[in-house]
Amino acid sequence: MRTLLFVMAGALALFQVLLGLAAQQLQRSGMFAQLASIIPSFVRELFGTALVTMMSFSGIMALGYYHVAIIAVLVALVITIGTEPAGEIEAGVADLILSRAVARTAVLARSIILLAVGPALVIGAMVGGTFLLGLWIAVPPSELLPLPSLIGSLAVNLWALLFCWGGVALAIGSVARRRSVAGSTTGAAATALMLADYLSRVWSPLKPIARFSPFRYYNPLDLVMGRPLSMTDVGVLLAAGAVGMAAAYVLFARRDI
Amino acid sequence: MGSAPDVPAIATRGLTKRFGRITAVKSLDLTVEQGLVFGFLGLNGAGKTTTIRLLLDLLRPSSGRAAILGHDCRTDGLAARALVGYLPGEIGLYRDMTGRQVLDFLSRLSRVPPGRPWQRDLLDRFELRDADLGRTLREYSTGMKRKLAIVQAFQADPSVLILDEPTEGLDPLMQEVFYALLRDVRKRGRTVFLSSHVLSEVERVCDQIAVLREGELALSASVSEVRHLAPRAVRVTFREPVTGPAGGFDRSIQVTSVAAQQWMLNVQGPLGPLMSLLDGLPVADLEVREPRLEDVVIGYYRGTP
Repeated sequence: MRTLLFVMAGALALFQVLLGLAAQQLQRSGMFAQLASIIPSFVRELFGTALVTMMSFSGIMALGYYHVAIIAVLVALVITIGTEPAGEIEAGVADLILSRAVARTAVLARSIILLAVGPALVIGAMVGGTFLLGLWIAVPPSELLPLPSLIGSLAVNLWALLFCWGGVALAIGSVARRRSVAGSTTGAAATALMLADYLSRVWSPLKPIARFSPFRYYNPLDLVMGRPLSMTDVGVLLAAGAVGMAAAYVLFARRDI
Repeated sequence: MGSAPDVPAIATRGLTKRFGRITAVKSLDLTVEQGLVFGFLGLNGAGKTTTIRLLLDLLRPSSGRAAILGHDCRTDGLAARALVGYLPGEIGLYRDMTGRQVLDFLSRLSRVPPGRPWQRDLLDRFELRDADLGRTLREYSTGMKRKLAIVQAFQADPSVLILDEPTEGLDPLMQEVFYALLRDVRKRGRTVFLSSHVLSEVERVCDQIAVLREGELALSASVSEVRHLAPRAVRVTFREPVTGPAGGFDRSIQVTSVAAQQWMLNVQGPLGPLMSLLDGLPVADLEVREPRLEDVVIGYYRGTP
């Protein structure tokens, strides 16, 4: 697990550095202005101002915090951490641990700490990659620097999203007999709810379902466009994560190992 | 250690475990006194591993209770498990950890410092060298994993050892090492509760046994008592042909085969009636095979004791 966290932190920090170089290249060649001008009006209407927002230096630098592939990888990370207890039961390791004077709550407490600290470490590395290396290498005109408050808001909101999914994964993993079942169930739920949230933005009948999607409470492009971080959104994600973790405590305490 | 000597090492009362419609353990009443090596026998699926897992609170009972040295396994489980060393039948270990890391990790969970002389002694007995302990478990053979698992069960010097098929995967020399270890821990007053399919091993190392059949206790007695339940096989060879006794054989004698110069008999209890019968007959040889545990236990397995 430690290796996975450090490799992921390093890779995403490096990704932020590469984004800085890409943004620098686009800025120097004047591509941002050209891209914005050639986008057809109907495309702009379809995707809204978000598309134009993305075609900016700040938008590119913030890409690592909202790109679908990055989000998927980070959600997969928390699913891996959250289903660790299920994996230990399946592998038989849990027998050696829980046959000792170790409370079941201690096993879950370990997972919860990892679910809080692990993503924080990775996101912290991304933030470090953004500011310490990405912008230092890119050295754009100062007025185009993404505000630290923007990156901070993205980081906090993203961490809260991952905390939520960690709680869900832990709850499902607490009752599953196989790690693969827990992981695939959580992954399928994440995929379905991500799609529900995305499609609900263009198809209103899905809006009632999208309310239950954690992704509904993570709107990175709104942050890039200058809107303040919604503490209500953060609160909803943290609360959902906490509910999942509380459910995990109850379920794990009662189950047969 | 530190428990009153009259407190049983293991006690179950009405212990029951159901999995849906299947009752794996039915109202089990079992008592294991301190300081004994106790054999827990039964066919595959009889409920032995389920019972062990109930003792360790890995499974929650449907009804009844179990206690280890007076500590309820469910409501006082931490105190109960602090006194236990467990060897599972199927070993699950972190494959990317070295043997040393596994032992140290499990030692810390048992709240004993790693690297104590007793651990060193165990490692020497089972010939686990420093070079072996420096390798990851991925590189271990089945036998080496088993030896490591035995060391982790014994290394905290627990008061009660619960061992599920302890010698499976061990070569004959290591089996002898294990039996010697059992003798040593028994001398030190520890209690061993082991489940095994190898009846000769159970007969050799156990003081008492219990037989589980379809989740129910079929037999619980000392090994010597059980052995005496079995008849002795007797082969009588005659110098010249003889006929069977006119009045038939005594009730304690069961005839396996009667030939002109050889009788194969099973004798329950003393040999006196047989010796009376043979008085005056031209006996050339008399061969008596002492009763074996398996002669009785197999009958209990079949439900025909």
